[in-house]
Amino acid sequence: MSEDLTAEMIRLYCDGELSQEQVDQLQEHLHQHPEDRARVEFERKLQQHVHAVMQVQCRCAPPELASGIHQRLAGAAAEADEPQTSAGQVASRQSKPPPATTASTWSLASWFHAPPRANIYAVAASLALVAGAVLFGIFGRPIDAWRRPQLVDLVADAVPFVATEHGRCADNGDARANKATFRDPHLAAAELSSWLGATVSAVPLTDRLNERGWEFFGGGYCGVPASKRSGHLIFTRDNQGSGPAILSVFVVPDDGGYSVLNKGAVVPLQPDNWHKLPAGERFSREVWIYSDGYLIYLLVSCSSDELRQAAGALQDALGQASP
Amino acid sequence: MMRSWCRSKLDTAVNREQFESLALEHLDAVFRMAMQLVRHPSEASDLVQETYLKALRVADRFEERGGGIRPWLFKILHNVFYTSLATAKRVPVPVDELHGAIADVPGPDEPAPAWDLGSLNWEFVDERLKSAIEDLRPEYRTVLLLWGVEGLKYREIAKIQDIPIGTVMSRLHRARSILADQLADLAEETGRSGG
Repeated sequence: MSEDLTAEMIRLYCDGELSQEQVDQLQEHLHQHPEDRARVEFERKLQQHVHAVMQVQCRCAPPELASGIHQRLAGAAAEADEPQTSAGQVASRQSKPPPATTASTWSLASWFHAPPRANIYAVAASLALVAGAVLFGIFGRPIDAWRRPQLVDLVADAVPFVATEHGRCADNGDARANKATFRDPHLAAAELSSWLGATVSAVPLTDRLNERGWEFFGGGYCGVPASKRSGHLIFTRDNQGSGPAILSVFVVPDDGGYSVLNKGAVVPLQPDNWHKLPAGERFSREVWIYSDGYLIYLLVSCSSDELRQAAGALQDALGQASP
Repeated sequence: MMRSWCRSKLDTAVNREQFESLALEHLDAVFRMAMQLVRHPSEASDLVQETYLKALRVADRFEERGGGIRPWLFKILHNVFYTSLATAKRVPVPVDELHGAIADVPGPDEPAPAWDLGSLNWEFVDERLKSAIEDLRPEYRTVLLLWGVEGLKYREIAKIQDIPIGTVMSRLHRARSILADQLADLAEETGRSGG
């Protein structure tokens, strides 16, 4: 197996899950590496045999199942019709199309043919609704006041978690490898962007960090508290003699409901402001937080210098000025 | 188009029959997946019947997104199964969808030995594969079925099982690595016995 091609990439290729650009790159690679072509061949044969074995192994539905389903569906339909019709009427209904519903036959003609009193009620109800909306617009509370979000304190909820999680990945190579489901920054960017519903700039961030000596290690899903969905990008740098330095970038969708503790006061997290939180009693690593208005990035590393580099890279990647 | 068909016509007996014939085309596939979940034919039949009843009730919510009705039926089957589990409190619903699931998954770089198995005779692998698949954890087996037999994409499997796509990838990767390991053992055994 060539060193730069992972089992994961081979399988993604065989399963047709790579982009056209990645397919082209991989095919060029396969042209030059017969040992990887053998792996592709192996994966395809394995898939064929899994298909054959499982299809035989998982028997077909028993013949009586279809008739059982037919009876239960008919019974359910009859029950649904029960209030309007008797059982005998249900049976006769199945043999011919039912009358069209009121909704499907409504037309301008039917409006004119409706009893006059019904039309008057409908007009009166419409006027009452319009009047209510106008009065609410004049005297009611502003719309924004109804949907003011509950602020979530990032320091209380998320920061201790990301500090601990980063520590786990920094101290334990297996944990780091397990976390990094996506080992290619393009793949990580695509999957996490799809997962989080906003563009995760993993590729430009990797480029900017490469310039500063960092390598993309991998990315994956994460369970940052106070967020429904979140991701984790991991970068490493070889600090000769003292082992690899680890940089974590946690990404959380910014729904406008987050706050941070800033000099003793809880304040809403403002886009384009860095919040720098020194390590303390509640979390062991220094954390820098940044929001671009769509995503919140929580940067964790061992030193302020590393964080400053990462913050600069992130803002360069997002096309903004360094902090 | 399917949605409007469902909305306008499913409340009639005639179109319940249309729904039936459309959905019953996939009965074998739905039953196969039910068997993966419950492992017993009569329980699988019950599960499939519940699935079709539920499908009929919620047919107006079906939206055609290119995959046809089959992934939608799988999704309902999955929901009916896990709802019944949660109600009966027999087995806890898996909660490994986020980082927990990734913890028992090998790193993507983990080498798997089987692709340089020149001595592997593919004519004799099926029995070994069959027992290896039987021994897989249920969540791996289900993903393997949806991928290997039903031919679904990762994204469709993730939607059916309500798990992140990365979990689908890691489960599939793990399942295939286990099968590849079994084939490596088989090749070694064959090599030894052959001389």
